[in-house]
Amino acid sequence: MGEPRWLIAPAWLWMVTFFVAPLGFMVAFSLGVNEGFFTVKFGLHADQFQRLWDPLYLNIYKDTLVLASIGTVGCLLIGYPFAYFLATRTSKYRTLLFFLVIVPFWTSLLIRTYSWVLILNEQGPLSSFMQTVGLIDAPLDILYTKGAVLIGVIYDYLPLMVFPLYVAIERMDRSLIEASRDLGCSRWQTFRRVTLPLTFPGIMTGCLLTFIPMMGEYVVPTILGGAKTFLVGSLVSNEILTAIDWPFGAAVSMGLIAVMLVLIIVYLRVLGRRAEEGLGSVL
Amino acid sequence: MTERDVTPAWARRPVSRRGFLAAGAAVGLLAACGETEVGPQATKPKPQGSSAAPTEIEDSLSIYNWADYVHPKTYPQFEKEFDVKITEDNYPSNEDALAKLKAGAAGYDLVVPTGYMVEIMAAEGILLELDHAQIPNLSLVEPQFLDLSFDPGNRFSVPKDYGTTGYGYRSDLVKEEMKSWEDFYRLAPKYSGRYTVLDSPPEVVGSALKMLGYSYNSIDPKEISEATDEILKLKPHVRQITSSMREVMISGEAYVSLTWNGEIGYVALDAPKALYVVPEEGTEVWTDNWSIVAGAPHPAAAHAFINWALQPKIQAQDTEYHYYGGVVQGEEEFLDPAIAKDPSVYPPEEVMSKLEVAQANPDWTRLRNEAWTKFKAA
Amino acid sequence: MSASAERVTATRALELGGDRAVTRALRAHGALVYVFLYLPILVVVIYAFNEARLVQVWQGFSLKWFGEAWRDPTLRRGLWISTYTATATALLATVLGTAAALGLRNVGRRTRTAFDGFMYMALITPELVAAIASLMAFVTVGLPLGPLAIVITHSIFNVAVVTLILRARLAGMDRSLEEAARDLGATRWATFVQVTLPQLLPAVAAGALLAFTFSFDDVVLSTFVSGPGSTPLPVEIFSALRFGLSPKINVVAVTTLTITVTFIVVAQVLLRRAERRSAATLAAEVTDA
Repeated sequence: MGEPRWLIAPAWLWMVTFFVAPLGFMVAFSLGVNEGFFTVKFGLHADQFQRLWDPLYLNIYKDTLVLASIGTVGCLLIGYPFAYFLATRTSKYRTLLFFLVIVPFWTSLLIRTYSWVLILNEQGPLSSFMQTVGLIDAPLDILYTKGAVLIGVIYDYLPLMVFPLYVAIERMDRSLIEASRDLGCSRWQTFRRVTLPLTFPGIMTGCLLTFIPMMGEYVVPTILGGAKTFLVGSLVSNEILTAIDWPFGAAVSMGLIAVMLVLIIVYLRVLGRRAEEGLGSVL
Repeated sequence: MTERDVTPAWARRPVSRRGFLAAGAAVGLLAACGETEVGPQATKPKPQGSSAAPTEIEDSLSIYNWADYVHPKTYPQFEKEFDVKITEDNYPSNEDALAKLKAGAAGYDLVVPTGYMVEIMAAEGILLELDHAQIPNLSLVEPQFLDLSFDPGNRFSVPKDYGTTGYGYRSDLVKEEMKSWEDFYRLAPKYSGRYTVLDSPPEVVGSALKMLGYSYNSIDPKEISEATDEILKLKPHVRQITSSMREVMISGEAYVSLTWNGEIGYVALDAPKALYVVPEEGTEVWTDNWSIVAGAPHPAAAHAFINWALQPKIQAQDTEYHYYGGVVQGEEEFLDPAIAKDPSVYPPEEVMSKLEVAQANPDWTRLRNEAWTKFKAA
Repeated sequence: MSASAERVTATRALELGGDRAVTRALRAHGALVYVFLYLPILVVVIYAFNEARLVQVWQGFSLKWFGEAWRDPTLRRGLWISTYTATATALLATVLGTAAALGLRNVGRRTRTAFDGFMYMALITPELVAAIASLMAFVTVGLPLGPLAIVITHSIFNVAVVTLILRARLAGMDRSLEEAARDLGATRWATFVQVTLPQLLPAVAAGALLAFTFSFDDVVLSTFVSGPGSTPLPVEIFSALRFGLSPKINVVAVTTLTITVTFIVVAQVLLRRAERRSAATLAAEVTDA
C-alpha cells in the first residue's frame, strides 16, 4: 500500500550520476599521466601510485593519521562524559541541552574554525589571560602549529562524536547498571564491564564519524596550521589547485579513500552484528 | 586628492565613447610628440597608434585580479566615463588563476598574470590576442617594459605595473641590518617562527638560487637541489606561507617576510620601521600585466579598460594605492614626490641591472613545483 | 510509558546512589563543554563590533564594519549567490529526499540496504574527495563551473540528510490514519496529499532548512566548483582569510551565524512539534480505544 516504489528512482539516479560517476572520473584520472597543464593521457598507468609510494608523501599520510587519531581520542575523552551527562538528564532538559549541541554543529565550520584564529593569536584574549594568570610567560605561540589544528578539529567534530554516544547511552538499559551495583560492583567496575560494552557500538560509530573527516580535513590546516602543517587535504588541494597535476591529486585522494574503506571494514568487522545498532544511531 | 571627474556632456552620449578614446589618445600623443587632436576621430590609422575603437563597447566587464590591486576610485571612474559595470573576482596566486581559467571558468574578460604566467597562459590558449588598434596608449609605456621575453610584441599582455620580490623586515624588532638573501637565510634560526614566505614556488625557490649565486631561472637539477636544501633548512622557522602578510607584519607577529615591495609599502603606513630590501645578490623583477581571456564576453570593453588604465594619471593613482611602480611615461607629474623617489617602489638603475625576469617553461615549472611540495611537507 | 518511568527512576538512582562526586564532576564537565562549544562563536560576535582595523587587537565598540561590509559589492554578490544556490539545493534535496523516503517504505530489503549504503557513503565521504571528483568530472564532460555545479555538488549530501530525516519521521509516524483513508476509498494520491503530507510537512520543512544551512555555509565543495562571478559567500571569506584578516570578515561571520542559527532553531522546533503531535495523536487513539 502507499507510495510507489519508483519514487526512490530520482534520488538514486541523481546519486549515481553526480556522486558515483565523478568518483569514477577520479579513478580514471589517477590512472593517467600528466602531460603539461590539463593535458592528461588516460589509460592504465601506475605512474601516479608509484610516485605516491615515496617517504615524502607517506609521511604526509602518517602525519595525518596521527593527527586524526589524537583528534578522535580527544573527542572521545571529552565527548563520552559529556554524552553521559546529557543522556542522564531528565527528559525535560535533555531535549533542550541536546539541541544546544546541535546548533553549533550546524553552523559554518569555516566560521567556527576562524574564531580560533581570533582566540589563539598572540595578542588575543586567551594569550592575555594566560599571561596574566601566570600560566605562560611569553605570548601564546600555538597558532599556526599542529596544536592549533588539533584544537580546531576537535572543536569542529566533537558533536559528531557526541551524537552517536548520546543515542547509545540513552538507549542503554539502566536496570543492568542497577543490577551490577546491587551485586556489589564498584562504580568503575560497573562502567568497565557494563556501560562500556553496552555503548561500544556508539563509541565505534563516533570514532568513525570523527576520524574520517579529520583525515580529509583541508580548511582547518589552511586556516590554523600555518606553514608547519601539511596534511593529506593540503596536499590534494595543492596538487589540484596550484601544481595543477590532477592525476597525482587524484591518486593522493584515492589513498585517502583506501584508508577510509579500511576503517569502514574494520568497523563492520569489529562490531559484527551490532553494526546495525551503531549505524542506527546516525538515524 | 583626485575628486571624481565630471564627465562633460559630450562624453555621456554613446557615440562619445569613441570621442573619449580619441581624446585619451590625444593626451597620449601630446606627451609623445606635441601634436594636438581633439574631438571625435574616426578610425584613421596613425603611426603612433590609432585612435578609435572600431566596435561599440559592451556594458559590463568582468575582471579577475589580485586583491587590493587597483585604487578604489579607478573602477568607478571607468564605470562612469564609459557606462560600463565592472565586477571583480580575486585570486591569491598566479597558479590559482591559471587553474580556474584552464578548468573552464568562463565569463572573465580581464586577468592580471605576472610575466611568466603570461607565457604559460598564452601557450595554453587561455589568452586572447590583443588588438593594439584599440590600445593606442600602449605608446605611453616605457620601452623597457615593452616587448619582454615572456611576450614578444605584446601580443597577449600589456604591462600594468612592476615590482620586485625581496623581503621586508621590522627594523625595530630585528637588531641586525639586513641587506642580502644571505642575511635572510642566516638570521632565520635566530628569529625562528617569525618568518613568512610567499605562497609561490618560483619566488621562494628563486630566492635560494640567487643566494647561492645561481640564476633565478636555473633549470639545472643540481642547482635546484641545492636550493631545495636551503629552503628546507629555512622551513622550521617559517610561521606562515602566505601571500598576505601585511597584518602579521604590522602587528609584529612576523618580523621578516619574503614578499613583494608593494606589500611592505603598505605595512610601513602602520609600522613605519618596516623596511623593504632588494637583496644584494639580486632577485626577480616582474611585471604584472593586463591580459584578455580567450572567449571573453566583452572584448571591446576589456580593450577600452586596458587603454584607459595606461593613462599616467590613472597609473599614478594606482601606484599611490598599492605601492608598485607604474610603467607609463609622464606618471611622475601626478605622483606624490615621496613615492616617486622611494627606491623600493622605483629601484635605481644600478639595482635594476642586477634583477632577472622570470622565464617559465615546463621544466622550470616542474622542478620548482617538486621543490615546493617538499618544502610544504617538511 | 512505564519504560521511561523506569528510566527516570534509574537516573535518579544513579544520581542519588552515593555517586555525588561523579555526578558533580559530570556536571562540571558538561558545563565546561558548553562553554567550549559556544565561546568561539561568542568571540566572533564580539569582534564584529571591534573598532580596530587590526583584527587581533580590541579597540572599542563600533558598528562601522557592518556598514563597510554592506557597502562591499563583492560581499553582497557573495551573499546573493549563497542565498539562491542554497535555496535551489534545498528545494532539490527536499523533493528528491522526500520521494526517496516515501518510496523506501515499500521496497525490498536488499534495495533498501543498497540505498542506505549510498546515503551513508554520501554522508561520510570527506568533502574534499567529493569536491575534486566533481571538478574532474565536470571539466572533462564540459559542465560549466558555477552556480549549477555548486547546486549539484551540494545536493548530494543534502539528499542524504533529507532522506534520513524523513525516514526517521516516517518510521515514527502512525500509519493507521493512512490505512483508514485507504479503507474509506481514497486514491493513493489523495491519501498522500490529505493525510501523509500534512503529517510530514514539519519534517520536510526541517529538512529543507537544514539543507539550506549546509549549502549556505559550505566552503570546500564551493571552492572547487565555483566559477567567475559566482563565488558564494563562504568562499569569499575563505579567500579573504588567505589574503589576510579583516574586520569585515567578522561582520560576515556574524551575519551568517545569525541566519543559520535562526534556521536551525526553526527546524528543530518543527521537528519537535512533529514528534509531539504524533505522540499526541497516538495518545488520543489509545484513550479512544
